[in-house]
Amino acid sequence: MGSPFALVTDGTTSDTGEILEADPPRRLSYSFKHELYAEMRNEPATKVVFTLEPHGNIVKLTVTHEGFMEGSKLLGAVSQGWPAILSSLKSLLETGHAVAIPRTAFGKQEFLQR
Amino acid sequence: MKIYRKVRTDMDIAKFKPAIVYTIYITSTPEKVWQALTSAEFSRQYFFGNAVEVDLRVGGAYIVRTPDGALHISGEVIECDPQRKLTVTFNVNWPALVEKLGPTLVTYEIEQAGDAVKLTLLQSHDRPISDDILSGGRQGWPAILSSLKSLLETGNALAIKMAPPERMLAALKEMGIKTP
Repeated sequence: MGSPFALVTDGTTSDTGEILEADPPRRLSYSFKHELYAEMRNEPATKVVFTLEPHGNIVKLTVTHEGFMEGSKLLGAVSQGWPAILSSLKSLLETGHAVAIPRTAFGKQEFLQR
Repeated sequence: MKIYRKVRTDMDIAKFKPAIVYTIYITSTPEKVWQALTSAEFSRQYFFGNAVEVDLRVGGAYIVRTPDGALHISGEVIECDPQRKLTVTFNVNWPALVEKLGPTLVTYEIEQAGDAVKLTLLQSHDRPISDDILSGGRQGWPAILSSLKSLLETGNALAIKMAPPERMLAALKEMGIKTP
């Protein structure tokens, strides 16, 4: 608890936070603040929670992301991002290969072009 | 092959607002995802053993049968744009359900996303629906879509066993809707 969290892509940090709960392999949560794009950089820190529940030989993974301000642009961005990330994670664990999802599919390009 | 790209006009689908939206990316092709969504042979594997039978033209029947052959969901095709979009009425065959909750619309949108397919599921209603009632879809759809993804990527669906959420059954009972 209290350890730093950062999301780093090709050497660029996009999001930071700190670990709020770690109960391996059942529950993980961290605060999540966007650092990169101007239109989301000033939004307050949010909270991400992962819950893992075994169902026989399957795992039910639930992600909640809460604490967005009114009119949050970050909410729109993560709503695009999570389905892509979770889909790819599932493929990686089941087939050994992540899904090749172009970044344009989940909106990053849109932010880069502004 | 006939290509139908029509929308039924005698139902005001603009009145329906999505209450549940899930997106999943699948390493597959739009053709295979479409086939999986519209064929009984595939659906029995990923949809809790249920068979989807659909007459793929606007106004055609959309039916889901339980493994014992009983009619579970009956509806009709509202929009049909093969390999891109399918909208159907999706009415669970429980007495008084449609009368009390109104019709349910289910839309599947399929888009190419690089080498993958982006599949979006929307469950829409023409009136506000309580979280208790929506808990059924919020529990069921992720299981169905996860299993569909596994089936298309690995050849094996997920063996997920689940009962309808207690809070949904209690809310339906309170509204006078009988469940099996």
